[in-house]
Amino acid sequence: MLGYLELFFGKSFTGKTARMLHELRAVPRLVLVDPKCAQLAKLTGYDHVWPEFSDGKWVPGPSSPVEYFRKRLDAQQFRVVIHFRSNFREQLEMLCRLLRAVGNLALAVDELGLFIPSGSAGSLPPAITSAMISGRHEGLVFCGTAQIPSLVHFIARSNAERIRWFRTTEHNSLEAARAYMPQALVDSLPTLPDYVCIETSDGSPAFRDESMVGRIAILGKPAR
Amino acid sequence: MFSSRKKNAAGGESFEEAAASVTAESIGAEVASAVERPGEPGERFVIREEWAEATVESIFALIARADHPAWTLTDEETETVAPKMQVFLQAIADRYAPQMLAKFASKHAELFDLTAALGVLLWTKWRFVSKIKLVEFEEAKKRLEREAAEKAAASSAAADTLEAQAA
Repeated sequence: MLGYLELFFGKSFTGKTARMLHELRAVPRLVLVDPKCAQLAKLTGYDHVWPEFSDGKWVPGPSSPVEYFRKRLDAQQFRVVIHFRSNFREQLEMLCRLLRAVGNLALAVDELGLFIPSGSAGSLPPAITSAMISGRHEGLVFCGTAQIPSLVHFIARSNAERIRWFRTTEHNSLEAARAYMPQALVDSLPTLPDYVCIETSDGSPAFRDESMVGRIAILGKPAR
Repeated sequence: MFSSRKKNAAGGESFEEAAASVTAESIGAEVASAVERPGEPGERFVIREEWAEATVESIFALIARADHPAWTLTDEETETVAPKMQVFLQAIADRYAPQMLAKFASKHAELFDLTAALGVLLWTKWRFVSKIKLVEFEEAKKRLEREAAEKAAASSAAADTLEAQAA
């Protein structure tokens, strides 16, 4: 079951986005945010929304997330990918503001570091902060992926109920992992196979999770 | 777990308040100003009084044709009902017809586009044909007048000839 704030860290093509989608498979009201507009643009079974951003706001019309969610305020089920092509931080802030009013949904953000890079506590926009800190009051579940944990804002990391660590070799990422797991597991991070992760969560010890090997496929991985 | 709400339970913004805060206002205002408002001259489809009278008369004309010519309305009878019919037709034009058209357009987009294109073509052709008919009517009228004048001149000339012969 998905926690109220979950993160997936790891290098590219290690299976973190596929794992996040797998964890979200049973969520009836799901909003997926895509800043890369590549593999997720072809995701089947989802609606796709391409907002037009102009002068700090969304251009009204059928491409606006506002119109999409206005029609689905009472919907029991929807799954949508919102593709942002620019101004990631501003647009995620606007989306969080809108989704707090929609309520009762899961918000999944791919490449979270592009939206909320590291900075001081005050550098995080208010609606994003609110969604991550007190989103559960509006029924919001928040999750996201990132390649380098140290480049994701510390409020996201410190409030995460569960973090899944996929293969990573970057020095600062390994340093960050030491706060969450024993040294032996940290040492295993650079050599983890695809789909295998170290899961850390509140109230339970870290463990190596190989349960998804052969059950999920990495999105858009080039053939070798 | 997942149920819908239109108002933020935590006392925050409603959806429409949040939507307004993230939507570009300038373009929204332009769109809003482009929306037709009832009562604005030149933008409302107004039902004329004579159309209402024709509608009332046509209903009774059908009954008259089916049953008895005495069903045909007099001008006074038509004038008593026509204002009510005009109000009713105006309500259809203002409220019901746009809703029906919008529903039809969203369900059958291709057929709606074809109907609209044919409608525009018919309207253009009707205006063109009407002008031609008017020109032809004027020419026929002038021709008949000219022929009548020629006949009158010929008959008066014949009469003059007969009078001269008689004298």
